[in-house]
Amino acid sequence: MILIQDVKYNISLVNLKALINHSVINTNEEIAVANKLCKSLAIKTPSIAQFVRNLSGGNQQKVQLAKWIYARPKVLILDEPTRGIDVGAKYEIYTLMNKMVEQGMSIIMLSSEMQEILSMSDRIYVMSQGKITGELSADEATEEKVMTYALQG
Amino acid sequence: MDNKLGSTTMPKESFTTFFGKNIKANAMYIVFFVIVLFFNSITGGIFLTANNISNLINQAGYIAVLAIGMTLVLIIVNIDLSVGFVAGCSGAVAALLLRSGMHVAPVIVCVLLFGLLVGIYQGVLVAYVGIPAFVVTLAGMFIFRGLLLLLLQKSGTIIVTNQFFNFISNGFVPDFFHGSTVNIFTIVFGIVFLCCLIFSQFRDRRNKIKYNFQVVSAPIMAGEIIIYTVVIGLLIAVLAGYNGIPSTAIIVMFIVLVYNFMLNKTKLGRAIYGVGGNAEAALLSGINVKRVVLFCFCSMGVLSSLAGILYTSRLQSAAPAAGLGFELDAIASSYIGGVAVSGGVGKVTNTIIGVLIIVSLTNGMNLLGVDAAFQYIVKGMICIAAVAFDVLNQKKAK
Repeated sequence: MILIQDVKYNISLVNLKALINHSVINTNEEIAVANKLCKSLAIKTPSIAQFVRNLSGGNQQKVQLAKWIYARPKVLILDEPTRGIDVGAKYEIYTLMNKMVEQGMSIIMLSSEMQEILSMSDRIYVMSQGKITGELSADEATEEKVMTYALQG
Repeated sequence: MDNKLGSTTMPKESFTTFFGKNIKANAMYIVFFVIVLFFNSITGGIFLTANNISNLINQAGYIAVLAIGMTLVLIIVNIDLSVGFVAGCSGAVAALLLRSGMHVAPVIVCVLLFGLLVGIYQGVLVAYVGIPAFVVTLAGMFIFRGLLLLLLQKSGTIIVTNQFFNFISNGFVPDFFHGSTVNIFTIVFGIVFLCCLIFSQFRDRRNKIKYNFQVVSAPIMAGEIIIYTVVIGLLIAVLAGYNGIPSTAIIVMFIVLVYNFMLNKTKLGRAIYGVGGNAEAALLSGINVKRVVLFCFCSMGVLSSLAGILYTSRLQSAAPAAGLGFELDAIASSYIGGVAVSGGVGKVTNTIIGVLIIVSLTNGMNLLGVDAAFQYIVKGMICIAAVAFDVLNQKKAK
C-alpha cells in the first residue's frame, strides 16, 4: 500500500494492464473502477482522490482488499485480514470474503482468532510450532478440537 | 476525518478553502513572481527585456534538462551527484568528435549513447549490486571529472565551430512565415500553446465534475486562465519583437511533455511513484523495483549528456571546468519544485518552475553585479528553505 498516494492509484496499481490502451492508462476508466469498488466495499472516503494515509485503519485495509479484488487472482491469501480494525469493518470484510468466494475465488486465510476461523472456514488446518498438526472440516470443527491440535507437538 | 465527509456533497470549493489549501501547492509560483518583479524593479526593467529573457531561457536549458532527470531520481529516493561531470564529459566527447570531422547528427547520437552507458553503469551498481546511490554517484563525480580532464589534457579548451551544433543552444526557431518586424511563428506558436492549455483545463474540469470530484469555482478558474493568458501573452509579445523562440525552449518543452506524460499516464510512471512512496509495497504489488531504479538512472544519464550538449553548444566550447556545481542547481531546482525529500512526490512541470527560480536568481544577481560568493550562499539558503517548508508541511499533515 502506497500511503502517500490516493485511493484510486492504490486500487489500480496491481492490475494496471486492464486499464492500459496502447500503453496509455485510461484515467477515466480508472476513476470509474475505483468509484465502483469504493461503493461495493463501502470504503469511507471523501473521494477516491483522497490520500490513503488519511483514511482509518479499517478503510485502508478495505482499499487493500479492493486492490486485490480488482486484480482477480484465483487464490487470495489473507494474513490476519481483520487484525486491529473495528467490529463494523470486520463484519464488512467477512461479507466481502464470502462474496468473493461465491464468485469463484479461493481464499486462504491465516488467523489466530478462534471465532473468525470457526465461522469463516470450509476447511481448517491447525498449526503448532511450524508444523501442520491437524485438518478439520467445517462441520466437525469446535474450539476444543482446534485447541487440542494447537497444543500438540 | 469524519467531518470532511460532508465535502462530497459540495463539489465546489469556496475561495477561502481554495486559497488556504493552494497556497502551499502554489508557493513556488508566488516566490517566482516575487523574484521576477523584485529583480525587474531593482534593475530598472532590464530583467524583463527580450534579450535578457532569451538569455535566461538559454541559461535555464541545461539545468532544466538535468533537473527533470533528477526529479525522477529523487522521487525514487535516490540521488545522483555525478550529473555535472557526466554533462561536462559529454560536452568534451562531443567537441572531440566534432573536431575529428564527424557529422553533427552521429555525434549527438554517440554522446547520448555515452550518457546511456553511464546511466547503465551507475544504475546497475545501485539497483542490482546494492551500493547506495550517494556512494556510487559520489565516486562517479570523481571518475567523470578525471575523465573530463583526461579528454581535454592535450588540447585544453576546445572551441566548437560547427554552426548547427552551436545553434542548438544559441539559435532561435526561424520564422517560417517571414514576418518583417515581428516573428509570426512565435505568435502562432504562442496562440496554439495557449489554446491547448485552456482546452486541457476545461477538459480536466469537465471530467472532474463528471466523476464528482472537487473542482474550484468558476471565478477562480477564470482568474487562473486570465493569469495564464496574460503571462504567456506578454512573454510571446516580448519574444516576437526580438528574435523569436530560443531553440532551447523547444527542446526543454518537448522533454517536459514527454516526461509529464510518462509519469502520469503510463505504467512506468505509476511504478516510479510507487517505488518512491513505498518500495516494499511496490515490490509486493508486482513492480520490478530494480528495473525501475535502473530506468531512472539511465534516463538521468541520457539527460545529463543532453545537458552537456546544450552547455557546450551555448558556450561554443568544451572546457575542463565544465560541469562544476551543475548537480547542486539540479537538485535544488527539484526540491524547490516540490519534490518530497521522503520520496514519492514530485512533478516535472513544477520542477521547471524550480529551475526558473534558480536561474532567475543567478541571472538577476549577475545583472546586479552581486559577487559569485554571495550567489552560492543565497542559492544554498533558498534550497534549505524549500526543503524545510516541505518537511514542516509533512509533519503537520501527520
